[in-house]
Amino acid sequence: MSEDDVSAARRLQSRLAAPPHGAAASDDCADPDRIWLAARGELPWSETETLLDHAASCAACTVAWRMAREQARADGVSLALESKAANAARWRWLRYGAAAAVVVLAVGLVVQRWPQRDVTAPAFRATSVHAIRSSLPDGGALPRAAFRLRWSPGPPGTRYAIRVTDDKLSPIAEAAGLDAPEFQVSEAALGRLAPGASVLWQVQAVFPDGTRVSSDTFLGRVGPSRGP
Amino acid sequence: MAYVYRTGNVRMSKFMGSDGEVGPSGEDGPRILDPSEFSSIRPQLLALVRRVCPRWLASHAEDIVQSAIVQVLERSRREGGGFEVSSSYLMRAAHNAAVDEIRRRFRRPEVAAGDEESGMEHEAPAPGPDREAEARQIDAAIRACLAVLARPRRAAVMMFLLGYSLIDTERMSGWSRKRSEHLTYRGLADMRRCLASKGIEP
Repeated sequence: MSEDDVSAARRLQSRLAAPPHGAAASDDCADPDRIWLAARGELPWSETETLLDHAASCAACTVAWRMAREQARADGVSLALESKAANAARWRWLRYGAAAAVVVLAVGLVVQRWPQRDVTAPAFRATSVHAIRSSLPDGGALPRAAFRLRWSPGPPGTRYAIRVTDDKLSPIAEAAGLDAPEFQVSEAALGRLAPGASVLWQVQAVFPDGTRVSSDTFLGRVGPSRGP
Repeated sequence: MAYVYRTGNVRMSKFMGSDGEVGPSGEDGPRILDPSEFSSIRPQLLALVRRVCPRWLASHAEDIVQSAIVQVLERSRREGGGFEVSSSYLMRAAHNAAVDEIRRRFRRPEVAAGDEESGMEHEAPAPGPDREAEARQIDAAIRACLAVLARPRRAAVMMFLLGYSLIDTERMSGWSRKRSEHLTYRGLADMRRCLASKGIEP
């Protein structure tokens, strides 16, 4: 591109970034949370492309995209690597993983023979080995008819409470006193959510010694009625 | 049994009955989100709206952010139940509510114009009606030219116009670097030609 092309492109960028008062805006805009996710590279490209198409014709969504983009930058989000790079990374991690497994095995053998220290009343924190983690891929879709949320278990005897909301914090379901690290959201409870809608969920665990641990907030999506 | 727990700067309490069911208990009932819990989020969101929104909207940043926070609070009160949420999640909810508010102002520009006359915030003088009409015309022309681009070019150009780099486009789309460059540069050249045909020099 010539210098002239570059400056024309920059001017165009500034124009689009600042739609004037009364600029055309649609009535059928996507949920702001989809734009939030797309701006972070967390949606499939096909959906991102659809959102970009819409933003090309809708001044309000252009601003929404820029806000989400700026916030992603402020949060230090680095965009998801795609196919080739991601595959290369996966193979690299497999090699590292194999090497790490050998080290862990060796350390485990040493520790097994080491005299045990008396540890009393460990203070569990959300960042400890007892942290509650989702067993589902973040942002993954689950079929409506089998919307089963699963998470890593605490020590035997742990009880769990869960709260499930939509992206606007509106409750969808909640339960307490669960003794298994899973919870199925009924199809009826998901009835008002559109396909692809975000579902946020969080678990609180009470360990047998009374320690309470709260998980992070996890993200799921409403998939089709039946699984593949 | 009532308990209180914290995450970051957000504190919520929850009441758990003896049967383990979550629900209202005691005289106070469940504590819902409190406005003070937005104390760290408010300035962040305000700065974001002021930085990103066009001037006519940025001058209403206080109103937009306030409406967004009230929306999240009202929803929390209406639908009940205290629940621990992280500050990043509150930011996301408030951000999404701010987008709703911005969309409302775009769809009903007379609301924003009316607010301007109320003298709530006057950080920048509004452009005259001629300048505003001209800006609207240019915006409409840009969007009309975007609409006639081939789809992959439109996506690549939009990514560029929204401030993404070619590397970002490559990563998000899965296209090769060469294809990302080709689509972006060809698309920008098409845009320039299209705008020139409408008598507009970007």
